Amino acid sequence: LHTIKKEPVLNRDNKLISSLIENAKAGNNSAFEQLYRLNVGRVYAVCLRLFANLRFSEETTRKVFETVIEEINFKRDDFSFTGWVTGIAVHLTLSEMRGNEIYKETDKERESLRVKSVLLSNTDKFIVTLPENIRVPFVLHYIEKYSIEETADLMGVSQVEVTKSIKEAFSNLMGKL
Amino acid sequence: MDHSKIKYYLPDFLEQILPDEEYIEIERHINNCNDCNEYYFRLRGLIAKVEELPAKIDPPTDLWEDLFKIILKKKNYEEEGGESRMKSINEKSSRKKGFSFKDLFKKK
Repeated sequence: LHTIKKEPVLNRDNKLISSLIENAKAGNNSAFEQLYRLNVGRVYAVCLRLFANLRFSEETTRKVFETVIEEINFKRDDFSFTGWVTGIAVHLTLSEMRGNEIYKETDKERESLRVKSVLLSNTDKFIVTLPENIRVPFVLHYIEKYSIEETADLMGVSQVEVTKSIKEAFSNLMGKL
Repeated sequence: MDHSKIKYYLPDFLEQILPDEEYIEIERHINNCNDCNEYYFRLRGLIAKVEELPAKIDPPTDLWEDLFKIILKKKNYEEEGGESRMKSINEKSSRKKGFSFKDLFKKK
């Protein structure tokens, strides 16, 4: 029998990325563009899997990079650039999900079917159709590798609730995949 | 533990977050129960598929042009002596414990 061990997340940038960051801080637009192109797919994937909504995922991806442009001088050195923008994406997405009245009123089931139609992976297609309350902790813990404690803290719920939701997500996915 | 409880705790078993006693009980059970053993391997297969998901998904539209305009605006704003948005980030981050949004940034 084998259990699953998670890979440690790299928290340092290589020389190329470090140099792009320094050039972007100095106002080099081309360096910014390269950082954007290297990371936009990562940010969009986070937003899309959490939101399961095309419009809000694109809008939030834009907001993430607006924050990067505004705050690149305040990027913590102990985060990799990708880890940093991913963190911004998670926080901004959860904040939008909690506070955006238009998002709250959208027909989530219909939106998730639209998202399903643009995704390539079957696993992703099933994940985006999970109900939001079980999809979000599943994505944060199993895809984005936040611990149960961090997931609970990000969502503002108890760890017991997170564990229960993740089990429900598994049981739901086991019936589909 | 009955079969349904074993299945319920299998994700925890795979993550190695169960107390030793329960871990051993589940391990014994899935070695002796065909149904739970099959479920265990299906669950492992599912987790493997999740682990293999692409880290990146390309957005349908290129946002760079809009962002480039924002960079130019920011440059003009700073040249006129404006401050960064750090204040609004501090205000947005209302969580009192754990990892907050503002923890992603250096202190000003």
